[in-house]
Amino acid sequence: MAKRAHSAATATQQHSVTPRSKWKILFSVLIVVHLLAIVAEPFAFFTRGANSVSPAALPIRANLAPYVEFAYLNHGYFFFAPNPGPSHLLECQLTTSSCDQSRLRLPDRRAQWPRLLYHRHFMLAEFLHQLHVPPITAQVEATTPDKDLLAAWKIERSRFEMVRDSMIKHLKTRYGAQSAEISRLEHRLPNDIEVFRDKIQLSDERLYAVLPDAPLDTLPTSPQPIAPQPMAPLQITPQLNQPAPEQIPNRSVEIPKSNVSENPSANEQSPP
Amino acid sequence: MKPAQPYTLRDWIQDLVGGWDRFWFTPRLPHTLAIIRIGCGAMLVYVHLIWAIFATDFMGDSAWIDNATIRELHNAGSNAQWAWSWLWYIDSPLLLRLHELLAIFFCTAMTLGFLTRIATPLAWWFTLMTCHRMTGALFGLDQVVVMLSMYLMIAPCGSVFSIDAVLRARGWELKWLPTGEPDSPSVLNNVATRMIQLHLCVIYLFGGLSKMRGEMWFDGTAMWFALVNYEYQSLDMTWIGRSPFVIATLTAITIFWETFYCALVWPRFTRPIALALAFFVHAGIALVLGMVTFGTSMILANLAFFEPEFTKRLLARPSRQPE
Repeated sequence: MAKRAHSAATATQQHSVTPRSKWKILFSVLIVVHLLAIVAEPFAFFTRGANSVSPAALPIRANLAPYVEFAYLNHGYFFFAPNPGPSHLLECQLTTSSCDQSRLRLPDRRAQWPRLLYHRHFMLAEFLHQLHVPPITAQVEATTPDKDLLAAWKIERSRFEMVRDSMIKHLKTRYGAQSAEISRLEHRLPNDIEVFRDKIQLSDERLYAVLPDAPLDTLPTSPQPIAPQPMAPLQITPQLNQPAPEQIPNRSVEIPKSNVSENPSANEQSPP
Repeated sequence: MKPAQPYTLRDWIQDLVGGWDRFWFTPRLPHTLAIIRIGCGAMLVYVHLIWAIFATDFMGDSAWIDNATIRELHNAGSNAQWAWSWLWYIDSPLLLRLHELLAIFFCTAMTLGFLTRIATPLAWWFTLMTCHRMTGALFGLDQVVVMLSMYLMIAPCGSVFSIDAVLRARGWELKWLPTGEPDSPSVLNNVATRMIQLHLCVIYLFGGLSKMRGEMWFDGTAMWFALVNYEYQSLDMTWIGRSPFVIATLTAITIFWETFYCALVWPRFTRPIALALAFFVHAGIALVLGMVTFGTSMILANLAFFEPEFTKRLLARPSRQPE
C-alpha cells in the first residue's frame, strides 16, 4: 500500500509542471480574494445584530459585493438554524368570472411533482413570508419620530406587496381566474406529547394558522412578525420546547441601518 | 552534539510560504474531480430540465415573480443589482425554453466530458443566469451545484472518464482545445479541489455556528422538530421520538460534526469519521427530509476529500490476464 502511494507520488513528481513564481503570486492573490468572498456573506450574516452588522464584517462584504453577488456566493448557510422552525405556506383563493371559487395551497406534494418542483414552490411560499412586513396606518406614519425607520419600513412593505401582487397576477393568468387572494399560513411543529399521547397527525388542520396582514397601531423599533391566528384553536397540551412566535427563526426581522445585502435571494435561514 | 538551532521568525515565514506552496501548487490527478464533474453535470441537467418544463411558471412576465418584480428586487443602488441576469428581460416562452434547452445541452456535454473546457464554463454561466432570475425559488441545491461547477471549470477534469479522453486516445483531439493527458497531474486540478474543500469547510462551519444561536440544538430537541416538519418530510421517522435519548444524541452529533468538520476533515486519522458522518447526515436529508437533490450534491462535494490516486485505483479496469 505504502509502495503504491510512493510510486503514485513519484509519478506525480515526474509529470509536475509547477507554474513560475510570478504566476504563483498572482494565483495566491486571487485565491485570497476569493476566500474572503466566500467568508464575507456568512460572517456578515452571523454577526448581524438588532441594528447593524459587525464593523469587522462590513468592509469586506461591502467591497466584495459585486463579486459576491454575481458569483452567487451570497449565502449565510443557516440551515435549520438557529432552530428548526415552522413551515410557511400560501393559501390561494381563486374566483372565476362565473363566481366559482377554488382553493390552492402551496406547496402541495400531490399537485407539484417531481419533488424538486414541489420544493421550488415551497421556497416561494417561504420567500413571501420572509418578505412580510405589516402595513402601517397614516396615524402611525404621522406620529413615528424615527423617519429612517419609517422609510425603511415602507420600502420593505412595498417589496412584500410587489411580490405578492406578482404572485396574484400569476395565479389569475395560470388558472384563468378573475380574482385571486393569497394568505400566508404557518404550520406549527407538534411536540412529542402531541404526536404520541394525543395522536395528532403532522398534517392536522389544527396545526395550521393564518398569519394576519393587519395594520400596526404603533411602529416597533424594527419590523416584527405578528403572532398567527389559529384556524381552529387547539386545546390539548402546552407547547414544550417550541419557540414563541417572536422567536420563530424563519425571518430576519431586523432592518439594519446599514443593510449588508439587499439581495432578496441572500441570507436564507432555515430552508436548506 | 550540536545544540539545536532556535526556530526564528524567518524559519516560520519560510515554513508558511512553503506550506502555502505545497497546499495550492502541488499538481494533482483529475480522477476525483472527473467523478464530481459527472455527478454535478447530471444534477444540473435535471435542474434545468425541471426549469425547462415549467419555464413560464418561473420566468417571463406571467411567472410567480414576473420580470418587472425581479428587476425591482435587484434594483440599482442595492448590492443585489450585481446579481444580474439576461433572463430579467426575456418574456417569450420560446426563448425561455430555448435558453433552458441550451443549458441542458451544455450540462450534458459537461457530464459526458465532451469539449469539457468549453462546456463546463457555459454550464456554469447558464446556471448562474437562471439562478439570478429565480430569486425566491432557490435553495441549498442551487448553491452547491453553482459552487461545484464554478470550481470544475478551472480544472482540466475532462481529461479522464470523458468523451474528450476517448477522442484524444484516437488522435481526434482538437488542437486548439487540449484536454490534458489522462495521467498528467495539474496544478489547476489541485486549485479546484482545494477550493471545493475549503468552501465546504466554510459552509459547515457557519452552518454549525448558526445553530449555536438556537437552544434546541443544545437541549437535544432540534432533530425531533426537523423530523416532524411535514412539508419537508418524505419518510416518516417520528417513531425515533419515542426515545428522547436517540433524538438528543443525533442532535448533538449533528451540531458537533458540523461545527468541527473544518478541523476533523484534514487529519488522515479523523477524515474517514468526518466524511462518514457527512454521508449519513446528507443521506438522511435526502431520504427523510425529501431533498434528494441537495443531499446528493453535498455528498458529491465531499468526494473532493478523496485522493485522486484512490479514485483511480478504485475505478481502474481490471487488467486482462494473459491466456
